[in-house]
Amino acid sequence: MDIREYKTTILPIKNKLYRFTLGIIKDAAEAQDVVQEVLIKVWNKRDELDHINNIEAWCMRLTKNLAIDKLRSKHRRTEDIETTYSLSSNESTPFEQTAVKDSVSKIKNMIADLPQKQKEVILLRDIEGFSYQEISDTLNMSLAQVKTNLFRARQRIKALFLKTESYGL
Amino acid sequence: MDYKHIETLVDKYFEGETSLQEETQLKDYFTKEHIHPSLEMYQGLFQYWVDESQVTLDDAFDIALLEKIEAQEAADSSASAKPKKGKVILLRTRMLYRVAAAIALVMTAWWSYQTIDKAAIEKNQTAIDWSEYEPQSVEEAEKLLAEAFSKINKEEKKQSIDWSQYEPKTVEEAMELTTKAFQKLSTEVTEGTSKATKEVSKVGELNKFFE
Repeated sequence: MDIREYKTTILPIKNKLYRFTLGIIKDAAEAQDVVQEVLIKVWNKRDELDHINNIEAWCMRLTKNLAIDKLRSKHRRTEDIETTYSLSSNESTPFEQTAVKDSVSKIKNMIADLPQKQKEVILLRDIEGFSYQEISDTLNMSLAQVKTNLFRARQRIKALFLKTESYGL
Repeated sequence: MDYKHIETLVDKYFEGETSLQEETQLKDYFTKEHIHPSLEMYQGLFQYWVDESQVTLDDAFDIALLEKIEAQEAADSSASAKPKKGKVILLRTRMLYRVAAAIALVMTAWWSYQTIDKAAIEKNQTAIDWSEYEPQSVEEAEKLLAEAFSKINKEEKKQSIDWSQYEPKTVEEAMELTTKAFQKLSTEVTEGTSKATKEVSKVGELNKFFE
């Protein structure tokens, strides 16, 4: 594979990789670093790409692993969702602005707080619009596992929404 | 769009039973249409999915990535240039070794051929002429034989042990030697028996321990 082929076949995947990474590590700059590292790895392994059936799924797996490694190595922990709620409820910024900001940050936190597998599945499904089969290929999971994880992730989010609604948080 | 239909789709969504097409309908409803108050609480979620799906990396990312790849390639090619040079030298050296080995082989073959040939000639030339050592008469032959036998006898005498010096000269001396020999034998046997008795008693103690 030469640089031209790389630009046309590999580089366009960058946005999917970036969004997926962003969903895992929540930091734009770090997510960019991860994607760059992944794409350089792909370039270095360009001679082996012929043996890979689904390059996009393979890149996604590479990205996921690297993103999780980064997360672990920095001992970063996603903020506790309950803490976020209590902090955001005390904010004194203008109502409309905070409403929008809070809404996005709450959802981000809800997703960040999901168990890792549930998070990966829901990100691929609801952001990337992947089919169950594509998620299964990307995450090396059975179709049943994909469906179960998606169901649990959405149920968890629904429960948090209902809780937010009930307590007016 | 009928909000009741959307409500049903929302329920299906949270049950994980919507198709990709139905999920697109939900995203469209929550981002484009007037939202029914009963569904407002979910607007943020579907809006978030749509917004996140539109996040992209800019051209600066591509430029930085390609620059890195180019720099890496340049570094790799300069690094791999040295081993290539080394390989050329290696190939040349190998060629030299091969040529040297071929020359050595040819020279060895030529030298061997020459040596064997010369040796054969020399062997023929320097063969011992035994005819000049042959006795000319019967008397001379007898004389030579006698000399040879006397030489053999002398050598035999030199090498053989003279046991006669160890033999006892008198009956008393013979008796004394025999008595000493029996005493020695008796001591050795007694020592052997006591050692054997000790070992047997040790085995007996071990047996008691295991019982």
